[in-house]
Formats: sequence, structure tokens, C-alpha cells
Amino acid sequence: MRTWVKPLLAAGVCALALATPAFAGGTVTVLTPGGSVKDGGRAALWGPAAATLGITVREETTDEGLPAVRLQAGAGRVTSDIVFLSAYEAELGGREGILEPIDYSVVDKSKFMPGTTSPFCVGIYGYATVLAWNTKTYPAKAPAGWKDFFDTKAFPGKRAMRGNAETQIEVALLGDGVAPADLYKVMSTDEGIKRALDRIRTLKPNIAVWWSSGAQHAQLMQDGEVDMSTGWNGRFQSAKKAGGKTDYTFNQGILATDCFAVPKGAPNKELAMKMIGAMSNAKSQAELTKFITYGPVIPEAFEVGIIPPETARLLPTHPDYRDRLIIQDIGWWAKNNDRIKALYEDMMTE
Amino acid sequence: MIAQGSDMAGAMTAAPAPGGEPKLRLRRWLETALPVAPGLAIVFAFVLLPCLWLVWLSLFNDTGQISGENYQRIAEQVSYRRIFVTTFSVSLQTVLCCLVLGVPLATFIVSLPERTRALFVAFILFPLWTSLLVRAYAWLVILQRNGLINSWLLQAGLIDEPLPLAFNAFATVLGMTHIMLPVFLLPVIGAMSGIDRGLMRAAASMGASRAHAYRTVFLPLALPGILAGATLVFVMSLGFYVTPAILGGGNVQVISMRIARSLSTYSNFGAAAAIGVVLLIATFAMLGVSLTLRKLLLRR
Repeated sequence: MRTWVKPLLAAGVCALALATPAFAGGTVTVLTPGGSVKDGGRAALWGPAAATLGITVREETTDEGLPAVRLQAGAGRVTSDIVFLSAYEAELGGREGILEPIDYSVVDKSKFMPGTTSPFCVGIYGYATVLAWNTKTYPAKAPAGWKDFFDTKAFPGKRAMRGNAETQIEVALLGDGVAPADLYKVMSTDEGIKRALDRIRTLKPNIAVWWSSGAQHAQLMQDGEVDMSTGWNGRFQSAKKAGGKTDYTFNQGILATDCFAVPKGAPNKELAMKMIGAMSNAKSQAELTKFITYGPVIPEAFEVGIIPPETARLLPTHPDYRDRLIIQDIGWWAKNNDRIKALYEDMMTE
Repeated sequence: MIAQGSDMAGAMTAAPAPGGEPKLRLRRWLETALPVAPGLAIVFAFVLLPCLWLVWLSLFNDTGQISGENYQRIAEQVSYRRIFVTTFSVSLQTVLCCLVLGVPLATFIVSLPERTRALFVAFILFPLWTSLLVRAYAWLVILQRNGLINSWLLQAGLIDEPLPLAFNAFATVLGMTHIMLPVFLLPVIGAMSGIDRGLMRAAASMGASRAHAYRTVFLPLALPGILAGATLVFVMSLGFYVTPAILGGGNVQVISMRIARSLSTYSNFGAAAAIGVVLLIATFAMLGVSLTLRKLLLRR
């Protein structure tokens, strides 16, 4: 008898779950990268928001956000209402005209850190490109910023940089003494780009590896293969936790975000905007840190008593680091990446 | 394919060739054509068509317009030229390593008695069953800064600084040779075991030293196998991805990595297709060189 009771019960529960919100009105389809982002999102973001609004959420999973939106738009059959994108992808999507402008009358922009919302995308969390070093190689004095990364006299040793220009141009110019406030002004001139590339050129004899993934730069630090590396804060934290002689600083970290966007022609566009508005609150973003160690981009999230202090210190958007972070101008990259990546590749293969 | 076959058969019956019963010739032709047809159809559908499609794709830029942009980029951007040079140079070095290691090894193996020889061939085949990825990481464990070799040398006091063994062309060529050596050995062993040993004895009876007989009798007879092995290794090396990506550490940029990046990071199919087409043409050119070389060497 037991064999059929369970499925029947399950079916009943499902029917109830499906039926109740249907009265309240509507379904929203969320396209996520899956994994802990999806689990955390369901528990902290769209789960609570859907309950508040009385709607149902359907989840779809993809490895690649923007290509998926391109495919849907190209086929003329948009099925997703809300998509997870990196801010860079959202900037490109906005330029290509395949995203809806965000309705900021239902999404409260004022809660967010400056630079974490854009015309086409609303920030969910931020991650930073930071400087990590081997604590065994530099036991006395730790490097404090990108200037030290390029200073092979005071800090001799092997380096790893990204095999992709994005964030590394910023790193090079900050290392060359450009003030954070002038960063993108300098990057917008040809001399500025040349200055950045030349800075990296002089470091090249010390660059042992050009990393291509987060897993790789974490492993390099953990194995002591290089003495300093650029890379993502979460990955270095894992290397440190796994017992690698690794430490890192949020000083001059370069903050980028992942965000919610709405594809052009989304079947439930208005509801999607409302959902994004409902998900954009301090409590939700704070809850999300229980699943992924990325930093909330609504500063109030650190004040609602959900994030334990020791976890908070691992997040790049912690109030103590905020002034020292540089928020990446993703619009600049969307506009210039094609040109810069070619110059960077030329420099790398010299 | 079959429709085409019957057309040709029609042409044959209309104008019978002298010296043969047309029906018999048709039957003979069908007897060879029919069994080959499925194979040819597969080659056409899964090799030829995709290649043509690749050429077609490469003619569009990322906004979907027909343009020569993708080829222009390859011609103008310096890093593309360097990447092609790196790819060919790493492949050539792999071939050289295979020649240096493989020819003596194959000579040794074919000189063994039948049963021991089979054992050695089995040893050669074993690595072919191990994953590329595993072997690349295994080399990393051996070669890296805190790896086996460096820690031994440091402990023995032979060096003060770890040697830069990993993340460079050396490590890449080493890893690729490890993978390609069996591929090289198989045709070479095949060719060498077909050589009549009596010829060496005949040379010796006429006063040739062993080395001289090996050089003037044995090697020239093994040459077709050696050339086949070398060509196979070279062409396969051109498409390597995993090994240079892991053991090169970004310092060895090869064509396949650029293709992958064009696709996965920038989803630019046209750009990736254009690199593929250029690589294909370059590979054919190399095959041409190899065939000419073969002709010249064998004629002599």
C-alpha cells in the first residue's frame, strides 16, 4: 500500500502548490546558472518574493546567460522573464537591444551601492579581483596593493596574471600609481592603455602563469606555484581555508557584479520588474550569503543582523573595505573590450 | 551516392569501352562502389559538409553580415601570426622528439624475439588508454616549482632555485611527446618488422659495419613508416588543446586555445571558424610538403 500512498500524497501537495498561487496571479520564469546560486536564490531571493507577491516561479538553468538570451531573442520565442547575467553581459545585451530597460519606478535604486545598478540590470552580489600572496614567501611584510604586485625588488618572486585583459588593465594602472578616481579617464586614452600594457610587459619575466579560470589561480596559490596572483576573492578564500599559505587583501580590489535582467519580449515583463523590486532588499541579499560568499550590494544587508561578523569580513562589500574598493566601469569594457583584448593578446604572445 | 552511381552506369552502357563486356564492367564497378558507399556517405555528411559549413560560417562577422573581417583580423593582428608560429613550432618539436626517441626504440623492439616484442608493444599501447587530462596533471605534479624533480634537486643541493620546468614550451613538448610517441611507434614498428633481416646479413657479408648497414639498408626501408608516423604526429599535434593549456600555463598559446576562446568567451562563431579554415589549409599545405618529401626521399 505504501508504494502508491507516497506518490499520491506528493501529487496532491504539488497540485495544491500549483493551484494556490494561480489564484493570486501569474508565473515568472527565472533563468539561473544553477548550483548554489540557484539554491541560494530560491531560498533567499525569489522564494520569499514570490510568496509576498503570491506568484509562482519557474526555474530554468543554463551555463551561459547571455548566449541563452540571444538564442531566445533570435528564435523569436522568449520564455525567460528574469535572467542572471554578469554586469558585463548585461551591458552587451543592452547594446544589442535584447534586454528590457529596468523599470526603476518599481525597483528602488537608492538602496544600492553606486555603480551596482545599470539601465538594464539590477545588482545581486559583488565579487572582487584582489591581490593574493604566499605568506611563506613574504613572512615579514605583506604586499598592500597593486604597486607592490609590480615591485619585484621589494617583493621578489613569481607572479600570475589573467590571460584576459578584463580587470588586468585596471590592476596595471593602479600598480603604476594612477589614482582610483582617474582610472577610467586614463584608460580612455591610447597613452593610458599603452602605459598599462607596458607596465605588464616589464613584469613579464616574473609572470610564470597566465591563468584562465578561478579554479586555476586558487590552485596556483595553494600549491605555492606562484608568489602573487590576481584573482577572485572567493577563490583565494577557498585556497586559504584549504590550508594554502595564502592571504589576500581587499585593498584596491576591483568590484564587479552579477545582476538580474529582463529579456526583451519577456512574456511577463511587468511581473518580472515587480519581482526584481521585491527581491532587491537588504534581508534577501543578506540571506543569500549563507549560500555563496559574494558581497551584498545593498549596504543595509550588513546591518540587519543576518550575516555573522566573521562571515561579513570575507565579503568584498563589507563597510570596512567599501572605500578601498574600485567599482568596475563595466560600460567601458563593453565598449572597448574587442580592441583591448587584441592589444593584450599581442602583448602576451610577444 | 547510389543515385550518382546509376547515372554513371547509364553513361557506361551508352558508350561501352572497348575490350570489355559492358554488363560485366558495370557489375564489377558496382561490386566495388556499393560496399564503399556507406563509408563515403558518412565522410561526406560528417567530414566534408561540416568543413564547407565552417568555411561558410567564417564569412560572417559577429553582427551576421557577410564580410572578410575574420580573415582580415587573422592577417592584421600580430598575436595570430605568433599563435600559428607557436603551434607549428611546438608540433614540429614534438615530431623531432618522437623521431629521436621513437626510431631507436622501434629498432630495439623489432629486434626482440616474437613474444617479448608483443609484451613491449602492449607497454606502448597502455598509455593510449590513459586520459590526456590525467597525464597532463601528472606532468604538472612532477615538473612544477614544488614538484618532484625540483624538490629532489633542491634537497640534494644540486640547485639553489627551483628550475622553471612547468608552464612553458618545454613542458608542453614533453607532455605532447608522451602522448604522441605510441602513435608514432605503431606505424614505424609495422614498417620495420616487415624488413627482411637477411638483407642486413647480406650487407654484413659484403663488409658493411653494423652501423653502416643500419644507415644504408635498414633505415631507408623503414622510411615510409617513419614518414607516416611523423606526419600523423605532426597533424595531430596541430590540434592539441588540453596539454598546452595545462602545461603551457598561458605562456604557450596555440590555435585551438584561440578557437575555444573565440567561442566560449566571445561567442564569435565566425572568428573561430576562420581560424579553423586557416588551420585546415595550413595542415593540407604541410601534408603536401610531407608527401613531396616522401617522394623525393623514396626516389633516391
